[in-house]
Amino acid sequence: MRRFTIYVCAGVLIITCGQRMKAEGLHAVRPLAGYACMMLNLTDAQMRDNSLVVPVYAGPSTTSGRVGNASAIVIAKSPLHIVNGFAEMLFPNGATVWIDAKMLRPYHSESNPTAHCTPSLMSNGKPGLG
Amino acid sequence: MNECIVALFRVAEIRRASIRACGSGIAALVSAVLASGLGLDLCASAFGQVPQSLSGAPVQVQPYVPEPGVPLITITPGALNPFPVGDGTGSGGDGTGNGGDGTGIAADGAGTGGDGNGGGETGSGSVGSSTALSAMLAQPWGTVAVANTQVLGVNASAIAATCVLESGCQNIAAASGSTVSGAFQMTNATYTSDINAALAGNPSLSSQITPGLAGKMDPATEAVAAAQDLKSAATSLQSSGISNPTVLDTRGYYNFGARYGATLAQASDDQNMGSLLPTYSPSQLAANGITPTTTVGQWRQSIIAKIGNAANQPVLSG
Repeated sequence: MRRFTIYVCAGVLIITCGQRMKAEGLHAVRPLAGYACMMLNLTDAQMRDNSLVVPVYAGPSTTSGRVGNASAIVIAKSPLHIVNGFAEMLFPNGATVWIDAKMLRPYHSESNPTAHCTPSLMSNGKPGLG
Repeated sequence: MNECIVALFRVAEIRRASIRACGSGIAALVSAVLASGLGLDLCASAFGQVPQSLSGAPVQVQPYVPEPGVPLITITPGALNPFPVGDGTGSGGDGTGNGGDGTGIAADGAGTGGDGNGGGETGSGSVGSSTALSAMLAQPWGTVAVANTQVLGVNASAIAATCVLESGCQNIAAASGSTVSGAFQMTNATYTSDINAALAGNPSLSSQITPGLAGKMDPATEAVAAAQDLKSAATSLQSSGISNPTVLDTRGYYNFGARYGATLAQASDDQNMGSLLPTYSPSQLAANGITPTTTVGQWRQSIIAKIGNAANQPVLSG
């Protein structure tokens, strides 16, 4: 009976912990080696201009096919891998894409010079910012 | 999880020791419960709670042996909630007295009433049940707004969340010197651009709306423009690699700009907003009600506190 009680309590504990883990928010699981955060080489006003887009491509040329648009902070291959003027980067959906290397600059936060940004594998299984 | 298991075995060891010591079944049970509680606290310290939303009909049991006499019941996603305010009228609840989770803004915004999880609603599929949706459906124009929104392929909960955030779903006139008005608080320019885009893509809507700028003060019409705006935001986020943008993702898009919307959508809860909005100055962050050290999780929770479980629902219903 006592052992049964222990097992019941243990079961409750495991189930409860498991449910809590399912409910937690998006978080970094581990850093992505070989990648670094970089920023788009735009002014603050340009960053917030919804009509201005910075395209990313499937390969290191404009003829390789446009995949989408870059966000403010990108996950670039580190050290930079530049081919034909295009830098390799990781898209939020996990795909390898290419961006005009002139559109990138080192990551730096205006409001917090000591801020860090670590490309990470996120809890949703996709690349993200940890 | 490993920590939980280690803690669990330690709990079991402590429990065994206590059983040997007291030799009483009741005492053993009490000590086990206490130990389990300690274990739960250890686990709880590591995890923040994030409301989980139900999108679409729940998973249905698929019987492989039919039961004689039981009719076959099929749930068709996309049907409107037949009880628009039915889940907001209960008494009790765990909040301020009106109870339930259907009291809309007050329950969601204050964070004290209701459970914020929208339980008990019967909405489905492309409607996407939520407490925000209940708040909008409580308005006389709510049902028409939902129908109009669905034509554009936008989740009605997403548009409801917008009206809850912008105006509490009240049709507010423009202040002096401003053109921002209506339940969705749009400027004349944005409204005109969005309503034209919506009608261009869905000509059948032209017979459902109030034409011209007057439509901005007809919430069911303004909902069409607002839905078009949300659709554009979600589409933009998709082009930035965010596969299924949520209401929360589009709030980042609107609050901080298109490029930052995608950045915030892929950020960890414990990352600082100052780190993710690198071109923002401290004063610009303050203007948005945050500081450089406000975490993404805190910002997300501030939105969730206002719109409840609609926050994590997808914007696009298709």
